[in-house]
Amino acid sequence: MIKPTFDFEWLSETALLLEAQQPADLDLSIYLDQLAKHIRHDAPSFLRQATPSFKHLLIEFDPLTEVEQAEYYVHQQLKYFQPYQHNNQHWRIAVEYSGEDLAEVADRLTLSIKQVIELHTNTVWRVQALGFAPGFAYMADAPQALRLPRRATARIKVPAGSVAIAEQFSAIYPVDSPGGWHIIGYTDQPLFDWQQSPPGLFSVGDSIEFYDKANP
Amino acid sequence: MKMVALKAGLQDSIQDAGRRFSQHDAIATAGVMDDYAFRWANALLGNPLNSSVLELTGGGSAWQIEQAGLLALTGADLDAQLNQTPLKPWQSFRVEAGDRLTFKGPKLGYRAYVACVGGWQTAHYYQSSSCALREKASGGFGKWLQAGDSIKANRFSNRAQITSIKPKHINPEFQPDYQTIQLPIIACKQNQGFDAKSYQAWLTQPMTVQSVSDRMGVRLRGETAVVWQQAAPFSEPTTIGAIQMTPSGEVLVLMADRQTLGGYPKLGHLSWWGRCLLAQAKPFSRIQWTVTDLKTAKQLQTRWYQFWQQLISN
Repeated sequence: MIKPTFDFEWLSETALLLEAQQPADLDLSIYLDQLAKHIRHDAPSFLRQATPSFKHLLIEFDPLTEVEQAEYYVHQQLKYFQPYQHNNQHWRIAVEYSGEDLAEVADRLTLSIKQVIELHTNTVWRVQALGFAPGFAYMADAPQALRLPRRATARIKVPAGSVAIAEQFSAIYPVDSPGGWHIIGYTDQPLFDWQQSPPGLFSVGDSIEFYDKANP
Repeated sequence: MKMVALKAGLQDSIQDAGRRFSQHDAIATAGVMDDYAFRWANALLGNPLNSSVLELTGGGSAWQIEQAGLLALTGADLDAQLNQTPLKPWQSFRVEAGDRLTFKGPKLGYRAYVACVGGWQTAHYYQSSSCALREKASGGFGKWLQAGDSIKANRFSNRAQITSIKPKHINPEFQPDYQTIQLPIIACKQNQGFDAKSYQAWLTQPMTVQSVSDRMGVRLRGETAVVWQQAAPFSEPTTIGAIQMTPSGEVLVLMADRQTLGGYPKLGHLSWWGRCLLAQAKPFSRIQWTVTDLKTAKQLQTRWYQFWQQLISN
């Protein structure tokens, strides 16, 4: 089984950051998600958070922790962890492509609006990380023709349900929040519910296809 | 023990050590800003050290006591008065129904903690009574406390129990100095991405706490800018005390309600003690960095851990 190697960096006395070096044929985001789950499972009380992202895993400890004990625990978990088959969840999301940045996006990419919609709907997106705001999923990988840097200035309020793109990602804003991505459309799909566990709809590794509501 | 807010401050909430295993769901850790004052508030009452407390930011609140009890007050001196008699922090004290507890404004420090025997009753979310206010989440009160809100202890104390526990003071040697705030900073790998000369100059200058600071992060402004010389770093999970440089050149120290991923270059991290102190820096006050290393920070933390172990076992 292929395993990535890790660089260890203690950021503070309560936070240990692992940075993975990716072997060529490994889906790192799924590996890190499973490893984080493994570390959280039945963990001693001094362990507070185990958070994966694109190529990092952050482990945070209670300030009232014996550091050596904490470090030993993490090393044991790394040693005995085995990745397992990922159960892929697939989502189809209806989008009304009427986002306020759609025309500008097409213009900057020298595409027609129709081509932008086609590129967005023809891509099978995969969730690489959860973060930024509750329920917010970073979906990759945008085709090169659809990539734009973030907006120069962020909006104070992006409405919930906004479908947006930036760099290699697409995402849906689950709740009203500030945001600096380009809004190309809107969806009615609820993405977040406090009463559920986990509260967000998407998990790392899920695949997502968008379709044009006006042209299904 | 029960009390009602006659008037609430702008950012008052119930918190504990924070949510557990929430960040991977993109849910903020939340929790108290000043872990040191928080543990002492509970220790003064013989509570488990993770019991929920009331976090008062900057003062401006007034409380009517509705049921007698024993309370503890730690952290900032917010010009507290019990029935118009000045009340200093770092002590526990008895209150009676009808008493009035007020916090006028910050004299020294910025955040005060009020604990009751057994902790304050709240909803729980991710094993915690904390809430992150920007998320409008459940857990804790799920909102800033407002006038009219009533909070009560998890445990009812009868008169005999209240009078059997003696009010205590914390020895002055354990009361931090909030007058001159020196924040221990730990270097990190990303420091190499900054121009070394401007980074060194930046370390030695005092910085001013900006008024837009909140539980998500404390914003600092100084005279000299630091120059980041590489491409933007990859987004990574954020930890409390991460010192980031924003694109506008402002310094943002991530705190309890921070977003869970971040990609701004990091100037370093505050040690646990640095975080506790920064939580007490009020807007417009000045802070100074003091360079420490991981080994020293870990030694201090180990001593601290042993200190509490001893205190609990006594």
